[in-house]
Amino acid sequence: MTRERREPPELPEPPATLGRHVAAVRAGEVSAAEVLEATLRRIEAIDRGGTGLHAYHEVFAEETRAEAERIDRAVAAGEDPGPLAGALVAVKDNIATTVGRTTCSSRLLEHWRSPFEATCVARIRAAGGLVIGKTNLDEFAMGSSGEHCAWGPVRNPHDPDRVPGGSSAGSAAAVAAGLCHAALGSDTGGSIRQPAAFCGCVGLKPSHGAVSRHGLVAFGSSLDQVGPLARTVEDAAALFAAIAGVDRFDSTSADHDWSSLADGAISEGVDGLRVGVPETFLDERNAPEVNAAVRRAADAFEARGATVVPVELPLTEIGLSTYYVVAPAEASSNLARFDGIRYGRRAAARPGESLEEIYARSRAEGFGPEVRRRILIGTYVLSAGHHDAYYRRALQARRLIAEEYDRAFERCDVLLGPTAPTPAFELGGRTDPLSMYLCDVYTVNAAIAGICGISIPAGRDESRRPLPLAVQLQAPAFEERRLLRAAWMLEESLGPAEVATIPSAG
Amino acid sequence: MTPTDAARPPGDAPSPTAELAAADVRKIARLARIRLAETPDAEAAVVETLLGELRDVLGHIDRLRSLDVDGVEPLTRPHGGVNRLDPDEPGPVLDPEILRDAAPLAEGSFIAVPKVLADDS
Repeated sequence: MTRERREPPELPEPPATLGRHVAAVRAGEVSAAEVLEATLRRIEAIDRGGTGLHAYHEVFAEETRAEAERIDRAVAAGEDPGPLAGALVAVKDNIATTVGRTTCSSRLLEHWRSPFEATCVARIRAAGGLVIGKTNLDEFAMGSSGEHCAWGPVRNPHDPDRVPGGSSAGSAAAVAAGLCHAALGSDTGGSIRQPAAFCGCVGLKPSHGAVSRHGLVAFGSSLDQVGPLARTVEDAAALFAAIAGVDRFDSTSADHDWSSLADGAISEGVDGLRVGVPETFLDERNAPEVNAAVRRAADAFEARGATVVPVELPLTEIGLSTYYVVAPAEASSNLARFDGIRYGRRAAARPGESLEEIYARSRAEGFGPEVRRRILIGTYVLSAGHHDAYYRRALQARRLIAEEYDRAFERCDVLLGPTAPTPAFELGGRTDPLSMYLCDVYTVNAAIAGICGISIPAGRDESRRPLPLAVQLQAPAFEERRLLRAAWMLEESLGPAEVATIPSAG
Repeated sequence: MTPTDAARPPGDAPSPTAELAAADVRKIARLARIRLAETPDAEAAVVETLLGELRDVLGHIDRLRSLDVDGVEPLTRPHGGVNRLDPDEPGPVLDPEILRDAAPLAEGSFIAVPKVLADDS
């Protein structure tokens, strides 16, 4: 008689890339419901509990099961289930879903259920995609490390002692750990691109106006954009194509035809591509392996027939000062709506307390320290006596930065540089706010000017741990097609993202 | 901008950041409707910490003063900031009851709030 041994449940393989999965589901070769079950087991094993990655705040197992079965039935009945058929898409928790809560990882919205659905979410579902759950973020999308989440920090799947980046921390970690096919994030100053870089996946910040912001909880309205995180450039393009386009609920959304992005149209590359590498992007204060990755990427472009041209962006660094006026100013105004009256947490009433005191206590109890700090900075730079010295001057700098990009794009088609000055840093490694803000130096300017940018994996830093390295490409507003084609060329040379090797549980 | 201001080289005026004081932190917290702490002692400590952090951040932001922005029009939104105009037709709206139910406190068809007008006592 053999003694029965209890093996720990085996970790299911990570899901295929979005493109392969959707093709297999549509062809009836793979069941969307079965892939969902395997992914749910993976989430249970890797993401939950005290040692988990903590990418997800909520997982919609029951609701997604019903949807997956519907997709499988549609395929069996010979119907077209859509271009994202059965794709498991994780959604950052500052994007409104009618399933589950929309908390912005803030105590203030801990129990809030949105009465409406974000346009990007509705479009994913209309395309046959399945919203598998909501991912954690730096509260109200303010942060660069995933540590400012009211429910505890998110961990980097490649090294759990390091941060995943932020603010779309959970979305990047979920993609990198194979806990979904792709994810939605939002980017106000780098919040899609920087966590994608830290976690080794692809992250696209679309041009301002390319994707509807309806249902995205506003942080800095002139900067905010929703965009995809995925394992490959093609997957990011597919998700972008599904969510992009004009929307009656967002009057700043732009009317562009993105149908040319569908069906692998980006895998043609660009003939005669001119790649600009500004000297200010290769600052000697960057980690040496970051600059080396940019140089390798430039070489890879040249090997594929592109020309690397020198361009100048002397205002690169002033962008940070500009951003940390404009973004907090808009945030202080946008977040004024969270007063404990119309929605969110209201502080318990005290006898004789005025309405204003209820506001002040509800906000004090609801907002974490980073959100409070940014609201105070924003209030200061907008206050009487300081408005011209800070806010007006920052908006003037904003125009100069936009014009500088215009001049650079006369000489090149895309810009190449780092996404962040360093690879992922250690949890708790940056405690003072300013040092955290400095992480954003290479991402804020694209948001300030409203152009598009993408971070793609560029090998690993083997010297410390196998930490992902990344490079960023930027292109003029609404030139996503060019940007994605250039990124695809680079991905062909540098290799696609690898799913993080997760140490076995126990 | 007055002619005197225009004639002054950028960065020459005293920086408001250098003069940021505890009273300013209290003032902006009041303007932002955020209570900093429940007791005066706790508030003093919070103000002290915030003062250091805000000075750091605003000190960095002060680099904007080195930039020559003379005659540059502020840019509030990318791409010229032109809103799209849609036909002025009624569209779908949310049921008022749904919005009322989203509020933390409601009475009948109204959102309940504390007294807005203070009692004279």
